[in-house]
Amino acid sequence: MCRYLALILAEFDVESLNQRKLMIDRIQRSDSAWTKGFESDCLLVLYRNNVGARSRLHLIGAKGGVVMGTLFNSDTAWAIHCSEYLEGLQIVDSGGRRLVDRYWGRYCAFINDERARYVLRDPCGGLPCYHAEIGRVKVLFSDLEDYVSLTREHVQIDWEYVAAHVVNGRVQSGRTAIKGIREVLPGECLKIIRDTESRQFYWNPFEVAGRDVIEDVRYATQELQRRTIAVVEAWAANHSSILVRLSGGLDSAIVLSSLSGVARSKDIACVNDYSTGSDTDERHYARACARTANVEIIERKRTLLAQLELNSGTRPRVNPHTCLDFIENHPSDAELAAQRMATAVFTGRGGDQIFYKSEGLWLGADYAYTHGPTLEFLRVAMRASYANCTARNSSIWTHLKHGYRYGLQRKQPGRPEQNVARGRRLVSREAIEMKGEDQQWLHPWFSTSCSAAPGKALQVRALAIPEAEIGIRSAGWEAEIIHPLLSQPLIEFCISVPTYILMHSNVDRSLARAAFKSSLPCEIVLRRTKGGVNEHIADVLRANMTIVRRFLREGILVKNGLLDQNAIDTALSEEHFGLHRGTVEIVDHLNTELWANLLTTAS
Amino acid sequence: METLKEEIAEATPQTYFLPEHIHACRCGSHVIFLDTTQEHYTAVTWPAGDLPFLCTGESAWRGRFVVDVHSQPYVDELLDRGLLTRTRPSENGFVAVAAEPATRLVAEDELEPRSIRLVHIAQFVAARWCARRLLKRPLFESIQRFRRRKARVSGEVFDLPTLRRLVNAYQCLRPLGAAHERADLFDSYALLEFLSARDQYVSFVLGITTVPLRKHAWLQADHYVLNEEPAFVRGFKPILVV
Repeated sequence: MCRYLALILAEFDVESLNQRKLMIDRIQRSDSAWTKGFESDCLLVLYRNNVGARSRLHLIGAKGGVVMGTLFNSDTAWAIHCSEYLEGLQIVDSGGRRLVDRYWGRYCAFINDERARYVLRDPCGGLPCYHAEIGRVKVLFSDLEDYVSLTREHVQIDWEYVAAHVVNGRVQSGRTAIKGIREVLPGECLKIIRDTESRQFYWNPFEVAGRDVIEDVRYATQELQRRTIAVVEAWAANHSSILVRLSGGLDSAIVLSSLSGVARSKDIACVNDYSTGSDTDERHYARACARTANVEIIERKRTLLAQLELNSGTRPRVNPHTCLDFIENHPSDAELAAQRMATAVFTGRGGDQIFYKSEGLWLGADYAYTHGPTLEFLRVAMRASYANCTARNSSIWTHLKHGYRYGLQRKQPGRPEQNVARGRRLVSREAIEMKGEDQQWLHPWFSTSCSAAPGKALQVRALAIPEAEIGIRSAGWEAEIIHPLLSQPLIEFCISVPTYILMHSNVDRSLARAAFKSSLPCEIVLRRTKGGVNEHIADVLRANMTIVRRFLREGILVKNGLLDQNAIDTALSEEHFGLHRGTVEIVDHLNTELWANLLTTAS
Repeated sequence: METLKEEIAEATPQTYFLPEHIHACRCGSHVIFLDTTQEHYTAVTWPAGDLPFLCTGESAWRGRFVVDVHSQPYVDELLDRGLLTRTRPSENGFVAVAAEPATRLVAEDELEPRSIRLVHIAQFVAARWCARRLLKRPLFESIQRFRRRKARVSGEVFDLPTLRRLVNAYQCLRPLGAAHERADLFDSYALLEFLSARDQYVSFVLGITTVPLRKHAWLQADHYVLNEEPAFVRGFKPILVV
């Protein structure tokens, strides 16, 4: 795991230098593991020197700055080692843009120019990057704890942000849930010249979607397979022992299958978590994948009790957690990694977004948007209406209507945030008023009218929020959580393939299914449904109902008027609990409550 | 002695019956009652988590409940609501639950539009029209209609190759029909009508889940699912099987 802290001075003067020195003393007193990674007049980068940290430090020339994290070469997909100096001059001259064009990985770059300092976060947002000001020093950090130990002041919760989070789910606009702290968004570059700072996106998925559109199904299939294997192997190259979270779904099966080329030289084991319930036991599929890949599978029954207690023991973060963190941060992952001396845990996260898991409602609209009202549009609309051909599906008339309205007339479909708000039962009216206009919570990619087909825009929207979980720790052992499908080369490729090609046959993720048809078990390729965790979530909540009720009813969110106490009582009553579609919402609020609680206590 | 006798008498389970229009099933810690006249679902949970009904392990009940006296207050409420009765209805006994759904009869990538005939189109239109009318009536009436029709034959009567051909034709034509709010129920009614026009009789299944409470209808012939993904419907507990 890469934990860093960067201090940037607006002016190279005595007062600023003294302030910086004081901060360095403070941070090193709090933890002696902090080491200088790069130092120049106005830029100082510190990193926590834990296991493997040195291998994640890449100097840009001699004085050009430093890249923290894992870096790969775009041409070869080979990892860049710390001993290699990056092509300093070109990177500095381009203000860091060359990093986005020629490299990929999970990184945060600090570039030191004569006139300016640049901070660049990788396009996939693999490493967190926040910034704040303490006196005359700009502080960039990956972990809230480090910032807190620098300021020695109480952090203040931004209740407007929390209201937006409670109402809309996760929001990402650059603002954070703590006053005075902002986030450098994935693909964004923060340019600092003296006291002024400006922001610019070096990577924008809508630009990627607009160039080199790939409409050849055969080529797309081959290239998808090649790129997926390349990125998975690239990530695997840094690790000799790997755990794979194998859910039994298509995406994690593809990750495991892509590892088969390097499986002989590595110790690979799969972990499958299951629980009782209609859709939470996928062992049958996971076993089939493990058998085909010839790797060991470890099956674990999900535990019901104590999950909430463990969650409350986590470290405070800048933003509240999400529902999936609550379920998937399996505590024994870290222990298992330590037992097997695994340094990485691979997951299939991001597969739904990049391979395009969808009902196919936008295929006709996307085709009409790109090609206009041709005969082929009718064919695509017809084919789309057969997609996942079940009783739940819409008719061709719906597809034609969408094609006409959103494809030919180019109207913008409604924003999903609004739909989320409508579905939330526990949110109070005050919370909706407090969050204000939706526009201010939009990711900057969407704040201007986007010039992408509607289905593509929704695909990009799903990719806009990076994964928060990057590492796990147990008894001194650390393992990196890697989501290889969320790698820049693969994302760029999938974005440049239109949705009607990604779903070229009548099935969702059909391009990915076709690409890995020969290396996956038949039941995975043919599987159309997806496992869920709703029943498990309900069981966890039921088993912890006393603490859940207390947390929500008497919690900070209710005190601040964000949640409606009567609605909570109803939702958690024995007659109603579990029957309504609010279980995920309850967990979301619970996570937010735990986060707020933790932050208040820590303060 | 007298007291002991009284206790024994009290402890004797009483027998209650489900009225003809009520179906029930156990789903997790709930018992769900479906009133088919109003299409109204009632979920019942007992505080202790122990269900008083001596369930037989079947997932759908159409018959009697044997109730233990400790649950009497709850049973009284169910009696008041008309969800249980003391009189044996004319038709009772368990309704056979269809076999575990395992296979999709015709998957979307196996569709053959070329096999469609003009008669299929005519029957498709008629079936959709009929389904639209059925949806306007209470569920109970539609069920009675299916029951009456099916009473003419015993069990599931279908010829698999014919059924496959007809389902293929229906699925090819399905996108041409207009969408409906209750897509699953509408589609199941329409396909049932479409098939029965060719003397193919299959099971109509209505299933539920409790986390959250959802309902879904599909058609099944033996272990073949006609208009849904088998893995999807396996998540539902059948509450009504015709």
